[in-house]
Amino acid sequence: MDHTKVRVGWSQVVVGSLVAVLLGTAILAIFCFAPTEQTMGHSQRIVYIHVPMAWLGLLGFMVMAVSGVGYLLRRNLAWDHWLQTCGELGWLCCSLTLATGSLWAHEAWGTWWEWDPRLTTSFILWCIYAGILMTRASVEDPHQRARISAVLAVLGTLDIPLVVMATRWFRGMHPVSPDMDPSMRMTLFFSVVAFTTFFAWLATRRRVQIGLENLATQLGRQIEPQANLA
Amino acid sequence: METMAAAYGIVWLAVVLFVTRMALRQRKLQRSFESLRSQLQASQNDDASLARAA
Repeated sequence: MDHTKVRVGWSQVVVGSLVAVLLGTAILAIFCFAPTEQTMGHSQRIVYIHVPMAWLGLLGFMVMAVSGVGYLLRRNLAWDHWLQTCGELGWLCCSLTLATGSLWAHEAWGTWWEWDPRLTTSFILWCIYAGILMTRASVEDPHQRARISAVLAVLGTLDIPLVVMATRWFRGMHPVSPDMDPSMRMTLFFSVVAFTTFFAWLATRRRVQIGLENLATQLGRQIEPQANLA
Repeated sequence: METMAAAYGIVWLAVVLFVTRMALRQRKLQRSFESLRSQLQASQNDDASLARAA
C-alpha cells in the first residue's frame, strides 16, 4: 500500500461540499438578497466581507492564545501546531480586515487611513500577529519556538479588548453598531457564519499539513543517521 | 462599484494564494515522504546484504 499518496475520504468531500454550498449561498445573499444602501450604494456591501474578516482575525488570535496556554501547560507540540495554523490564517484575516476597511474608508470618509482608535488597535493586532510569525520563522528549536510564541500570543490578547471596545471607550470615526435593515443584518450574520465555517475548514486542513510536515522532519532526522551508518 | 469589486477581489485573491501555497506544500510533503521511504528501503537493503555476507 502506498502511504505517500494523498487520499481524500468521503467525509472530507462531504464537509468540503457543504462549506462550498454555505459560502456560495452567502455570496448570493450578499449580491442578490441584501438591498443596496442609499448613501454608499454598492460600496456598502464591503461590510459583508469586512466584518467576517475582522471577527476571524480576533477569533484566530484568541484560539492562538488558548493553544499557547495549552502548550505551556502540557508541553505538547500538537498545541503549537494549532498556534501556527491560527497565526497564519488570523494574520491573513487581519490583513484583509485592514485592506477592505481601508477601501470602505476611502468611500465613506474620503481617506484611505485615519489613526482612529479602532483602526490603530487593529493595526497593533496585525503587528503582533506579524511579530509572532516572524519570531517563529527565526527560531530553529521546536520547543523554544513554541514557548516564545505561546508567551507572545498570551501577552498579545491584551490588545483584543482594546480592539473590541475601541469604538465605545474612545471617540473615533469608526461606526459603533449602525442601524441596519433586517435583511442586511441577516445577510451579515449569514456571511459571518459562512466565512467562519470556511476558515475553520481551512484551519483543520492546514493543521493536518503542519503535523505531517513535522513528522517528515522528525523521520528525516531518524533515518539519516541510519543511512549514514549503513 | 469599483471599490466593492476591489475589496471582494482582494479577499478572493488572498484565499486563492493561501490555498495554492497549501497545495504546493502538500506536493513538497509528498516528495519528502517518497524520499524518506526510498532512503529507508536503501538502508534496509544494505542491512540485509550485510547480514547475508556475515
